Amino acid sequence: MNNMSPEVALHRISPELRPLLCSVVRNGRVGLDATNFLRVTDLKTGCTTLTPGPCCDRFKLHIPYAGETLKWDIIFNARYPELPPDFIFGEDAEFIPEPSELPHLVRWDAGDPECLLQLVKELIQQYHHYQCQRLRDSSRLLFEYDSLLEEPSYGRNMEVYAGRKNSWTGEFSARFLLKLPVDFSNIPVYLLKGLGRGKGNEHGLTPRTPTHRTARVAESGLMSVCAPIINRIKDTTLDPGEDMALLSVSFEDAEATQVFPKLYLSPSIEHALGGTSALHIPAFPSGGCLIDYVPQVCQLLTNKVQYVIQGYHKRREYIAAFLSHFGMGVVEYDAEGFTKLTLLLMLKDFCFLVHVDLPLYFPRDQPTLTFQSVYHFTSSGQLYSQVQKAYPYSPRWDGNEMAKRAKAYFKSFIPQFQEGAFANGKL
Amino acid sequence: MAASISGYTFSSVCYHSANSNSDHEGFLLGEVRQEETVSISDTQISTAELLQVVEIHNHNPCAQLFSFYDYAGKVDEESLKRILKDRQKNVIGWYRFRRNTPQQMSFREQIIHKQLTQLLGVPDLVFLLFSFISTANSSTHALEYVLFRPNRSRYNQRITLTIPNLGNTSQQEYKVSSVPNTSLNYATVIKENGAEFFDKDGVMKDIRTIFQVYNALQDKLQAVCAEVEQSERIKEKIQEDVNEIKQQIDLRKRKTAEEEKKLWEAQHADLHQSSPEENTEQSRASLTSRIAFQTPAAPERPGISPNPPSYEDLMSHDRALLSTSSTPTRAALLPRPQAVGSPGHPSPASLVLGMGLGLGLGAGSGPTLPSVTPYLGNGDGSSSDSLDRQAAGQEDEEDEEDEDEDSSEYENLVSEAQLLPPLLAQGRPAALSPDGDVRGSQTS
Repeated sequence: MNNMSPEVALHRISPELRPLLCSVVRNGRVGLDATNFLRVTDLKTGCTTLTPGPCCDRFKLHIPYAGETLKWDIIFNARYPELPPDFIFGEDAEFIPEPSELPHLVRWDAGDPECLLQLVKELIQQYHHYQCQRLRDSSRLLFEYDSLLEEPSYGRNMEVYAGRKNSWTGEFSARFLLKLPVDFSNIPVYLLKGLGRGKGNEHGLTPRTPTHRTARVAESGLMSVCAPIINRIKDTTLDPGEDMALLSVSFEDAEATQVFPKLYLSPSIEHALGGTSALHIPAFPSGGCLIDYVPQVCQLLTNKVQYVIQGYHKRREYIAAFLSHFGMGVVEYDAEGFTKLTLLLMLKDFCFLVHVDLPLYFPRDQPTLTFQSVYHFTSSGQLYSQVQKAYPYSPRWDGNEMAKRAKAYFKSFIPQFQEGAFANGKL
Repeated sequence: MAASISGYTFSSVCYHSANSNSDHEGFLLGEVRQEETVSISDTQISTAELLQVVEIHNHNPCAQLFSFYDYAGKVDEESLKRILKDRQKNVIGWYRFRRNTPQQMSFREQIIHKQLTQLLGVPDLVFLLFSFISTANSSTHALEYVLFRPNRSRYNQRITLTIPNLGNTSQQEYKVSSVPNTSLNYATVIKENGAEFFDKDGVMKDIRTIFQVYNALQDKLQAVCAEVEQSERIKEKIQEDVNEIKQQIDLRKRKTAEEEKKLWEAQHADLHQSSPEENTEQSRASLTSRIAFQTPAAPERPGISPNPPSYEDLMSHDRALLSTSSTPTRAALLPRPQAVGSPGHPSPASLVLGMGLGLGLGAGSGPTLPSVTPYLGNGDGSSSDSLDRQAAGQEDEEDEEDEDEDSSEYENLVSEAQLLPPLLAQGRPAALSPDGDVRGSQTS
C-alpha cells in the first residue's frame, strides 16, 4: 500500500485518531519545500486481527526534508487514543530528540487536531539540529554551515541533511537546502498563471483564454473592428502554493571538491520566468564557498525577475501606445500579459492585418510583425501572410516612439506586401 | 553474550501479549552469570573465553501502558517500585510487544531504557522486542522476537535468544535448565512426600542402600582374601612336607638300589667270568652316556640302542637320573616349567630339560640346570616322555606353582599329558601355549 491517497488513509484509520491524521495529510506542510505534501503509507493496526475495522493506528509518514524523504513510523494505540504516539525514525537510529524540546509531546492533547502536526514540526526542528550536529564531523562543511547561519536571510531558511558517512572510505556527504530570499511579489499575477492547460508559447507563457478587446481604429484610414471583451478566467483548481525558489547544494565529499547545485522553482515562478531555461545557474566554483555562491545565485534570480517585471511593464506601455496611435484599428490584444496585438489597417483601400508578438524579454528582443492579407489565401487555405522580424527597431525607444516608427514602417512596407499577396495568393 | 529463556516463560509472555488488544510491556526477571571456557588445542596452550549468559526465569507484565512513565518518557521510580515490589533485584531486562511495526527500538523505548539502566543499576539491561506480523488476509501470523542490549555499541546490539528443548529432543539431549524452581507449591509437596525418598540429610535413600551393599561386598571380599591367604599358606606347608617326604623316599630308594647293586655285583662277580651280560654293559653304557649329559651342553640325542630298554629299566634309569640329579638340585634352582611362547620362557631345548626335571621335582625357580634329559630320541624335540609326563602327572598337581602363568601353563601340560596316549606321542606343548606362539617344538 504505497501510494495511498489521503482519503483512503483517513478512511482506514481508527475514528478517534482520524482528526489528527486529517490535519497532517490535508494541511501538513513542514519544512521549506512546501510543494511536497506529507504522505501516509503502510497503515497497520495494533489491535488483534479479530477487531473489526477501521482500527488502524500506526503508519509511515513520508516527510520531505533537504531533498530527502524521511520515513518515520508513528505508532498509536487505537484502544487508548488519548495516549501520545511513539516514533521510529527509520534509518536515523541515533536520532533521539530530547523530550523537553517537544512541548507538544509533553503536553499531548489528543483533542487538538493540530497536535500531531505540531509535534511533527517540532521533531523536524530537532532533526535539523541533529543533522547540523553531524556536520561537525567535517570542519569544512561546518564552516559552510556556520557562515550561512550568520546571514539571517539564509540562516533562518535552511535545511541541512548530513548524509550517511561511508564507513569504508570515511566519505561524508551533506546537502544544504536554502530558500532564496528573492521577492517574487511584484511578478504580475498573469505571468504566474496558466499552468497545466494548453501548451506554452515560445515565451513559456500560456494565455489560456485570451482576452479580447477591440477598439476602433480611428486614425488615418485604418479601420477597426469591434470585438467583445472577455474577462480572463482565473485558475483556481490548482494551488501551486507559495512562490519560492529553493537552492539545493550537494556536497559529495567533505573537502567540497564535488559540489552539485540545483535550483528548484515553484511551478508558477518557473512558468513566469520562462520555463526550464530559467533554471540555469552558474556552476559552483571549485574552492568557493556557499556564502559567496548563494548571493550570486540570488542576484541572478532577482535580476531575472526584475527583467521579467520590466518586460511586462514595457509591453504594457507598448500596447498602450499602439492603442492610442491606432485606436480603432486594434482588433484585439492581450490585456493581461500584453504579449499580442492584432491590428486591422487599411492603406489605399488595401486592408491587412498586422499581428504583433511581443517576446518575454522585450524590449531587448524585437517584436515579431506578421502581416496578413484579408483577401488572399495560400494554397493550403490559410490567409496569405508574411513575417517580418528585421525592421527598424531600437530597444531604447519608448512606446510612443515605437508606435510611430511602426506606422511609418507599415506605410513603407505595405505596397511590397500587397504585391506579394496579389502575386502569390489567390482570392 | 548468550541468552536463554525457559519455554514456559516464553509462552507466558506470548500469551499475555497476544491477548492484549494494544501494545504490551513488562519486565524480565532472571540472572546473569559469567561462564569461562578454557579450551586447549594443538595450536595454543589454552584460550579462555568469557561468556556472559543471561537467563530469563520469569516475567512481570505491566497492567497498562504508561504505568511507570509519563508522556515525556520519564520513568517514575515510585511506580516502578510498586510494580516490581521485592523482585526489583532480579530484573535483568524488560520487554515490549507491538504489532506490525519494524524491529527497531522506538524513540520512547530508548529513552526509557536509558533511565531503567540507571534506576535498576543493571549495566547490561536487555530489551526484548516482540513483533507480530499478520498477512493481509490473516492467513499467516508470525511472532518475531529480538533481544537487544542497547547499552552496547550500535553494531553489536542483537543477541540470540535460545529456548532450550524447543526442537527435536529425540536427537538432542533434553537439557535441564538451571532455572531455580521458585514455586511454593512444589516446595510444599516435596516437603510432605519427600520422607519416602530422602533421609534426614536430604540424600536419597536409595543411594545409601546401595552404598551399604557395596560396603558389605567389600567386607566379604576382604574376608575371602584372608581365607585364601591362609589356605595358600597351608598348601605351601603341605608342599614342603611333600617335598621332604619325596626326598626321603629318594634317599631310601637310593640306598635300596645301592644295596641291591652291591648284592648284584657280589652275585655276578662270581658269574662274571663265564659271560659278560649285554644288559649290564648296555645298561652301563647307557648309564654312562646318560651321565655324560651332565654338562650344560646342547642335549645330544643318544644313539638308538639296539635293544630298547624295557620299561622297568627306563624307570630305574629314570630314578637313577632323578637320584643323581636331584641331589644337587634345589627346588629353588629348578627352572619353572613354562609353556613355549610365554615371555620369559627359556629356549625349547632348555624347556625340554626343564620339563623333564621339573616334572618330577618340586616347585622352584632359578637358572636352568645342566642336567640330563631322559631322551627317547623321537626326533622332534618334544618332551622326552609322555610316560614321564604322565607318571609325573600326579606329582605335577602337587607341584603347582603359585604363580599364575606357570600354573596355567603347567595345567596345559598336565591336561595334554592326560589327553595323550600313554605311548610316546607327538606332544606339542607349543600348541597349548597361552600366548599362541607356535614355536619351540618346531625348532629343534
